[in-house]
Amino acid sequence: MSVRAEKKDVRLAVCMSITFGIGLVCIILKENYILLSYYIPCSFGSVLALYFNYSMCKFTNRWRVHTNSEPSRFLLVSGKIAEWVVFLLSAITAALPAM
Amino acid sequence: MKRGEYLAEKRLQSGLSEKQLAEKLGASEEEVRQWEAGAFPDAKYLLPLSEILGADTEEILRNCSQEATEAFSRTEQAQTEGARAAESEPAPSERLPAAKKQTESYYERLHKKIRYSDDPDSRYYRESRYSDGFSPFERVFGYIACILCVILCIFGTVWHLVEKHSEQDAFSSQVYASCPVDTAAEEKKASVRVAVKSAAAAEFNAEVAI
Repeated sequence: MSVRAEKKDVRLAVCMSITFGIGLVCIILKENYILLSYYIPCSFGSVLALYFNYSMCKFTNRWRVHTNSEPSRFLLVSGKIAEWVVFLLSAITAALPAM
Repeated sequence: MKRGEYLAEKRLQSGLSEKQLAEKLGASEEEVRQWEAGAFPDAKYLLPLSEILGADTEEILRNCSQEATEAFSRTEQAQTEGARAAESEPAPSERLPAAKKQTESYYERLHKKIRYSDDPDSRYYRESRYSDGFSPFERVFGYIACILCVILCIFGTVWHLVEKHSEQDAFSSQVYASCPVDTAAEEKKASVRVAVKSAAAAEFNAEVAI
């Protein structure tokens, strides 16, 4: 991957981390402390998983002998969709009104 | 079915003319006509021919002479030996720098297509199309999603804080309105007023009596 593409990816990862931080502050201000146990692991995990999706899929394939453990396109795409859904759900929980 | 007829049928099924087939194989049109007339194709064209036409090599080889079969098997043997020799090459540090290849042969492209390895020094190495990070579509979607989520969170929090503040104001005003009046002070004031009135009335009566 080129250096320029890597820089753009890091910028998006930083933007997602800032969104995660703002959501955390909003939950604390609204005093919805019960949501923190779901929000923190899901947001943090989804940001990391979205960035390292290819490496994680390749790691799950490392026991396949007859190929070079290259993950299939289906696995990569389905993983990405699931991770984006988790990120969006955790962002929506931060926007929920006070309980 | 004879070989020539088989080749002609397969060529027509794949929708190619004799000229197009000759161009794809790098042979002449005359040679293609001779093959379809019954001549045995040259050994170097057999695999590409079977690949392009989707024809069975066994069917092509059927009804051919012993010499042609031996020529084909010799070609295959030479190719497998060449592949084995390439895999047992010396270590990269000992190798001389390879000359830059202008074109790849059909077999090199085929082998690259069907299998590849992680080792960059292997001749079947193919760089992966995928890597960590985000695609351009994901970047656009990600930025839009982050901006919308931040707006929602900030709007929701501000709304919650404003509601909370207005609730507190209403509560405090209610508390103030229901607060009991200081009755002792009021009674004292009333008694002072009565005393002053009675004193004034007594003085008036005294003046009247005089």
